[in-house]
Amino acid sequence: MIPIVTALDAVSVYTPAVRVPIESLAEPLGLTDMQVRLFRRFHGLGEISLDPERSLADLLRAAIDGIGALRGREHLVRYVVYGRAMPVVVPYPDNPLHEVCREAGLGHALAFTVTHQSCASGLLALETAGRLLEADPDPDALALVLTGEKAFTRDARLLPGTSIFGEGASAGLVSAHGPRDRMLSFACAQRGEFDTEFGESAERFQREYRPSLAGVIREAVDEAGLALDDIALVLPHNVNVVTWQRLCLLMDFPVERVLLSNVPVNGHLFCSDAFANYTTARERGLLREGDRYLVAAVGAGAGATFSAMVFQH
Amino acid sequence: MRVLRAERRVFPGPAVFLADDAHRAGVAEYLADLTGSAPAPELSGQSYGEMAAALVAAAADGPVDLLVLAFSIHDMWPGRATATYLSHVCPGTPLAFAVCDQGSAAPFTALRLVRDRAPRRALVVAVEQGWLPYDSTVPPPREHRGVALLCGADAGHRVTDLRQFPDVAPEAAAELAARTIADLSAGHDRVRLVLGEALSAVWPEDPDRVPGGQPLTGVWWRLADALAEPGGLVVVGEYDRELRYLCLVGIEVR
Amino acid sequence: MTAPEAQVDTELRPRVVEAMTEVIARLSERDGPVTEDMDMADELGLSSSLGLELLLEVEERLGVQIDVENMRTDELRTVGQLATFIASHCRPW
Repeated sequence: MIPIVTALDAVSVYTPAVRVPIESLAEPLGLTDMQVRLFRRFHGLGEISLDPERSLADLLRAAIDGIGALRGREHLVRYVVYGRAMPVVVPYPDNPLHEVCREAGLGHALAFTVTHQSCASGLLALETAGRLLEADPDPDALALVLTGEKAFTRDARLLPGTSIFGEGASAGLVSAHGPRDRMLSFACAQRGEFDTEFGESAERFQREYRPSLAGVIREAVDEAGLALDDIALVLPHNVNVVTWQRLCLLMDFPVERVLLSNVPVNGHLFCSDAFANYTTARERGLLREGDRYLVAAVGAGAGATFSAMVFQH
Repeated sequence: MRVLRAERRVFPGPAVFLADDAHRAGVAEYLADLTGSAPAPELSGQSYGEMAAALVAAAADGPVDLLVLAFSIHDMWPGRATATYLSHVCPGTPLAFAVCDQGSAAPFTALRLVRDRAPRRALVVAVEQGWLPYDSTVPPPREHRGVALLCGADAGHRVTDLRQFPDVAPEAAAELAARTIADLSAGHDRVRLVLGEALSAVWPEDPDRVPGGQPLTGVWWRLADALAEPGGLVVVGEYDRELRYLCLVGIEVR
Repeated sequence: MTAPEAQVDTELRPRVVEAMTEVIARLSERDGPVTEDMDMADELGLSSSLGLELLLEVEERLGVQIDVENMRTDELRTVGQLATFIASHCRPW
């Protein structure tokens, strides 16, 4: 993949204030007591943001409102790219994306959703935004990358044996020429053979998960012209803690450099984990100027996509 | 960027996978959760995985590097990462994703994204199926139809220009379309228009105006005919009234 | 790269084996005996999620916390290998 220059200018994350402990989800999700204990003990899950009072549009709106850098510059936003794990979330022809764009003064932008890479669709949206800007003759053009989802159906609530989804949204302002954070590389590997059409292969998927993720991480690091040890911080998809512990052992990478503290707090925020973790990293001063960091995401649930992106802060 | 060929199909329904009771029950639950209602007792629509797989098999001429699926109305397996599945069944295991939530502008955006990435070979697959388990304010398409455009860097009919205009008011669409078509046509002796129904005001006397009923695939379906007839510039244009996108693309047919 | 061998708690190990074999017998729905040389995935049919359940049950039974963070699952295939790991990589809860 030809690398392009893309800079992440500002990021905002919104999670509803209403949080519930995973124990309270046992009955609605049909989890046994043992399954809940496993989720706590090894997966590191604790609480989930779940607010039935807030619609998808509410989540997206709140994320956009959080980008102070957008105010007064709405006219520069040419593209709004929404990366979404669940491909369809409202009845046809409802369109919360365009509703929210109009309200935010972004009705003049080309807005669309990219999907079908499950939770890796957010990184794809970021990369797509970068390419649109690169091809745009206006050097001041901006793009807004959105992620955000509701846990509205079973497949959007639980990844059996793996994770529990939480609700949240994020917005990121992207430019082609900003000083930071600059995207250095993007690697994406799709494994459509795990689609249910080819039979149940949960065990094989579990076995291949870590090597596949390790592969795409190595590819992104290589493409950025770096070595794995050059990566100061990893912002993971918050699917669970045990997967990352084991992945670090496999790759000989220190797990201390993987930001896992949001797992017990948010659960798995679909495509928003990367941005939530980025925000936490900034708040804690975990990134110094010049640091190279890696963002990883895996889209699973019938057909799998493994993605990794390297940035320089 | 070039368009090598267009493959088009009408598909009968319902989707083959719906014959599996367990699978049908699963998607029925998801579809019901979209509207917060009870699962429909029967499902009759099509599956974009099934439709697009057939189109891919017909259109691919070898390994493909990029596959973009464009849709507006959803299908009967709405939770499936269909493009990822297609990546596996398409020669070349291409990078694959879907573009949606953009009405009839989606296939134009898909073409634009292909152009920006400049792969050696790409497939843009536009699909729409015509059945929903709930009432919608917009009538579904008349038939389950799909069109696959095989695009390439080095062979085929050259894409001269692609323009997308967001936020165009219905009363301004015809005039903006006419100006843009004039602009795209400059320097071309012979220009053929393939315009969606919403743009009929532009060239009211155009006998080849694409009839309504297939908002996403209509113009691409007709493009397949236009590509078969050599010579001149073909301009494909569509206007989405709800989302206010005017899109036009020029293709020089050899 | 293997870490230096941690000290195996020789008093604990047989209790780990006992707990493991009981739990595995139940989880794998096996009739026959479970012995230390058996491969947990291939012979006993333990999936990765059942593997985690096994660890949790052993922890709860013995009142210990296993150092899961350092568990190289690819190198711990048999009952005996896992028992040795647990007996050398845990502490009281």
